[in-house]
Amino acid sequence: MLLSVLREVLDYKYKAPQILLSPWSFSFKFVLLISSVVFSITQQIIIAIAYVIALLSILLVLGLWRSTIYIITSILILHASMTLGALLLHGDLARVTRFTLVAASTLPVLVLIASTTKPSALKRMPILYLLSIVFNNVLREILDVVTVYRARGVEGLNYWLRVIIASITLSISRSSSLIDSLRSRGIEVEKEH
Amino acid sequence: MITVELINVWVYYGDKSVLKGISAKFTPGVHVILGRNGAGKTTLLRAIARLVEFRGEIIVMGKSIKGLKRRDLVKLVGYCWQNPYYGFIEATVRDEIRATLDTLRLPGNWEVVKLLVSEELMERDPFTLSGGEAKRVSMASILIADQPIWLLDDPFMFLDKSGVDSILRLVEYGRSRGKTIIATMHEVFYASLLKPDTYIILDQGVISSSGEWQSLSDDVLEKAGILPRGEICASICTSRGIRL
Ligand SMILES: Nc1ncnc2c1ncn2[C@@H]1O[C@H](COP(=O)(O)OP(=O)(O)O)[C@@H](O)[C@H]1O
Ligand SMILES: [Mg+2]
Repeated sequence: MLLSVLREVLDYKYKAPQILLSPWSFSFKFVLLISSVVFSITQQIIIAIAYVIALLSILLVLGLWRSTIYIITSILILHASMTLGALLLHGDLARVTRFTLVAASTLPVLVLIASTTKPSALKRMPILYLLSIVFNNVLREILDVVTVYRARGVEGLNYWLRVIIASITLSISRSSSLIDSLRSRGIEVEKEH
Repeated sequence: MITVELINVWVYYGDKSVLKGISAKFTPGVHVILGRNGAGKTTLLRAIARLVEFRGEIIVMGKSIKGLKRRDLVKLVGYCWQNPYYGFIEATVRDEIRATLDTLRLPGNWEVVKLLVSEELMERDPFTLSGGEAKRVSMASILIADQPIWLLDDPFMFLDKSGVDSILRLVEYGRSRGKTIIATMHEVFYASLLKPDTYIILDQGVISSSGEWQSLSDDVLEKAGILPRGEICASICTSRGIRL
């Protein structure tokens, strides 16, 4: 499930409406992200919930239905487990709800950003630029690695452990090739020795 | 005119020395660096592109590369890395090719792109390209800046016949425009196709032999762990009118 969500997010750039891809829309999405946090903390719960539903509907309308389902399920699981914890430990239920709301309102925006931002839109922010490139590269390779594990019949816990280990080694080894590639284009990303 | 000069260049990875006192001079034309896997070919090119720390001196177009700003160095030296997939940074082939130009604020030489990448590929995601397409796109994304020095790390990797032909056209184009082209590989057959002017054989970080391409003997190749020019190679080359 998680992997097909990742694939959906990675491939969305190629069919997204042009307006969402433009560099200036990134600032808009960024403002949306900040306001999500503020909104879900300060507004009445019912309004905050309506806001979350509105955001999720946007994702659905855009065609990102796998991600939408994924967000809803993970939020429900998060909320249920935190509520259970709060009940057992006599914690503050209102806080749990607020926390869930923050997560529920920022996740759709993060998905929107991840699925509609081309690296070139971030060029003026070197750190974000590099992060988005590494993110993009490593995710794609993990999807390949996963196919190989599946083909070899690796399953269960062992499968997930291997995927996690591969992700870590890949991000470390790939970031040095990526730094080479950026430098070869005249983009200096870390101080030279 | 000497365009690239290495003077006693040493490269270490940790305690291990990978290049051990390399000295060499290159002029405009085509030069191949041959050597078995792990001989240090990639490291040598990365040193010229100042992507690894090295001891000694490397002079490009009369300037020590140690003193150059990255952007100025990149305008002189075009380094095309070995595995294309490890270097893609953009979401479409067009953006990938434009990336260097945007950074260097250059108009770019689109002739190079035409030789390597067909128009249909332009809106594709670089990661979905086949090996050969990826290799060509990654080379185009660097050489579009029209540097006088081209470093091609294993340019034939992944390529089929049409890919090989496009690299040969590229190299011919570069030669006719006075570029200094340094290409690494471990197959003497591919090297022959490039009609090089000179060769260097690298073995365990030292130059075990070098000279005019015509003077390269099978003996020397075999000693360095490279397949010599066999019958098959000879017949393919002869049919292309290339003298071995
Ligand atoms: N980043 C690195 N760290 C440690 N060792 C390396 C690194 N890169 C290459 N090497 C080692 O340096 C030697 C030369 O590598 P390389 O220049 O890639 O060889 P070639 O391109 O001729 O196959 C090899 O033994 C390789 O394992
Ligand atoms: Mg190599």
